[in-house]
Amino acid sequence: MAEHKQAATNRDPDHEVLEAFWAGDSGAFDSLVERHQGRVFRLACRLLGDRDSALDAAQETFVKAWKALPRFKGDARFSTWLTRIAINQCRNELRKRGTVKHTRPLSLDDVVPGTDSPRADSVEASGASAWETVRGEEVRTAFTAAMEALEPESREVLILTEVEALSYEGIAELLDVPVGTVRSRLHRARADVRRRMAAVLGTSPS
Amino acid sequence: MTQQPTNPEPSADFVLLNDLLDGRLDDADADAVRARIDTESPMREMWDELKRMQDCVRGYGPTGEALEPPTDFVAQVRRRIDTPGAEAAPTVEVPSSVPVSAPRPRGRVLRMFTLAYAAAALLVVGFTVHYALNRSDVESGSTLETADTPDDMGPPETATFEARSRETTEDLEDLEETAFLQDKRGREGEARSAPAAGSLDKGGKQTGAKPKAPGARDELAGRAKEKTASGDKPPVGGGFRGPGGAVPPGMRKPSDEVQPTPTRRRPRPGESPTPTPTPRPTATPSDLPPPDPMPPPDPVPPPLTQPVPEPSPEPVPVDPPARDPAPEGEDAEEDERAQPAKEAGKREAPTARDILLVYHADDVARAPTHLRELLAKVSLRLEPADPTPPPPSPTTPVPPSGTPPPPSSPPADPRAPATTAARLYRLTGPLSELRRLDSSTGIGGGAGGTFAETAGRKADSVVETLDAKSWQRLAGMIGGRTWPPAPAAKKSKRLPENKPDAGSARPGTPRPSRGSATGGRTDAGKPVRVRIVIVPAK
Repeated sequence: MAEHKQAATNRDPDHEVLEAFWAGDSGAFDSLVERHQGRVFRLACRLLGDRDSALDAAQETFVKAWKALPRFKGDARFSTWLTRIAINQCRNELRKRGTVKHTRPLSLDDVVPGTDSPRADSVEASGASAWETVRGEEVRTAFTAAMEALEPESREVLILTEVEALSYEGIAELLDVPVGTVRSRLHRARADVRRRMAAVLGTSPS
Repeated sequence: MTQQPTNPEPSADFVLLNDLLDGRLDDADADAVRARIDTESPMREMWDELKRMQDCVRGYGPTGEALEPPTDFVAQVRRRIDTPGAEAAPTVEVPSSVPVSAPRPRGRVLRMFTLAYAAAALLVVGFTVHYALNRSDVESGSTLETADTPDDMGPPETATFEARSRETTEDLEDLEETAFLQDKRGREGEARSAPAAGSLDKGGKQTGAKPKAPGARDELAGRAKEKTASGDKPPVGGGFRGPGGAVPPGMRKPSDEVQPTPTRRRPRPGESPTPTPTPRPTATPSDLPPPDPMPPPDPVPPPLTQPVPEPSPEPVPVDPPARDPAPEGEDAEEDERAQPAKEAGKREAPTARDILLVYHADDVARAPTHLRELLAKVSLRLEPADPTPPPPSPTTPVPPSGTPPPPSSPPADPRAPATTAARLYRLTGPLSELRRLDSSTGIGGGAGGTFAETAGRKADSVVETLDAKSWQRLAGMIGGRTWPPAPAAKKSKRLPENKPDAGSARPGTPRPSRGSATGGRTDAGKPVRVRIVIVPAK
């Protein structure tokens, strides 16, 4: 225990909770989950693209963290360590899925996600902006497909940069790759998305 | 990047803009780049795209409340932890100092891999020995066959296998066919060599049903398995009908040997699925089995029936094959609209297949170039499926000067809203080349769903579009405006062939007169659906 106390420096915001966990406080881990669940879940959502898979991956992340926490030495922040587990979990999930993506044609009879009405109703209700409504949906769909078609490493860097607002150095530390690799992956990801959007829509992302 | 033809090094600019976006430039450099953004239109467009992309990425994935974990998230995690299975599960070692991609302890896994490798090595050695032993037997039996074989063909057996390899017939079914052909030749060679050995079996020659020599059979099966194990080409899902292994003798017509067309696999109604082999009355050298008539792939693709003009002074950007718009995402639409074309193809060849390439308005200009690029890879011929194309009309977009004009044809399906601009092609060639087209370009997934239906499906070959019914409904909703929107004005200027003709909309469709909210684009665009009827060579 003293080793943990020594290693987990005060710079980690989770230091006190970790101390409590190591001291035998069974509720300390619940506090850690509450503190980080939103960030881990959102990251999983963006890496995996759908809520159900993200929920499962996020929960599994915390289960694995709980199992491995006795060996956590505090070399990095708990949040960084947890993010590594989450990314690994998402990678495993993506590996299970394989690389074949099949997107179905949009149908106006489909129910709009989050509503009970078919897409046709929403389009009709939008009146004069029906064009833009469907166009916007097409753009979103194309963008989602472009993101899913990215290499996992490129997508991770893109999301960590834009969504998590991490610096190159922070991502490099998280993924244990040189900063130059982060930069090149990021540029490649953006170029890929731009190219795929142009290929599918004939336009750039808008 | 290919969309910035005026910039000699667009990638360098793109990198600069990325660095600016991420705040990786010092003040002086950032000011210089901003000045270029203000003055150079391509830089400004790229910058705007990057900014929009940034917004898209930030909104990627579930949004709103869907991004919030459920209220009982902690309880669910606790339940998972308290599950006896979770307690008993092996501990996952994730030390804080180990990065994401670092290897993990894998002693047990390593041992399993070692065993697997050892087993695989044993199998390879076994097959090799088996192959070597049986090959010597077969070669001695095929000596007579090689006597009158043209020099450039080599031994028939070798030529057959080489030809088969060139054909890239990628499924096990073809392996079965190859095994059968070799089986039959082995039997014939055996029959011819039998008199020399003084063991004439007339009954077997007359009926053609004499069981083959076990050794030849095993050799063939071993080759088929070896070819499969060698991983030359992955088996094509569409043609896979079962595990490997030779087809029993007498299950296919001898003509199958020289006509590897899909009709062998899916006999038409009334056609005997198990034709009886034609008996060979004699076994003289003049009756040597003909060399495999399947010609090797033509190194120079045959010219298009459509004249290919000189290249355009402004080259049309051509996507790499992996980006070929594939029809996987619109199976339902294809099934509806491709039926007439399929029927038309069936009138000419019962095994015609449809491949529907969907080009959005901006990609219209790319279609002919794209097709030419495809045909440069395979020995196929492309020709208009309609022998009497309708006279030019205002509904036909003017083809580019540097690209072959896609032949017009009447719409194959009146329900398809874009058929006024549809193009019907017939792509003719050996089946093996058709498969090469599929496997090398990722088009795949024809309307019938059986043309190498899984081989070419890639994540980046999916095209999102509306299904046919929704196209119609949408067309009515938006007051006759066509869909999808027209290309941007700048692209139309750069690619004049890409500029759609507003008058080409469906009859009765008013000409759009204003730009939409999609960045000043007009609404006169329409998709061009290039329908390719696949007709295997007879």
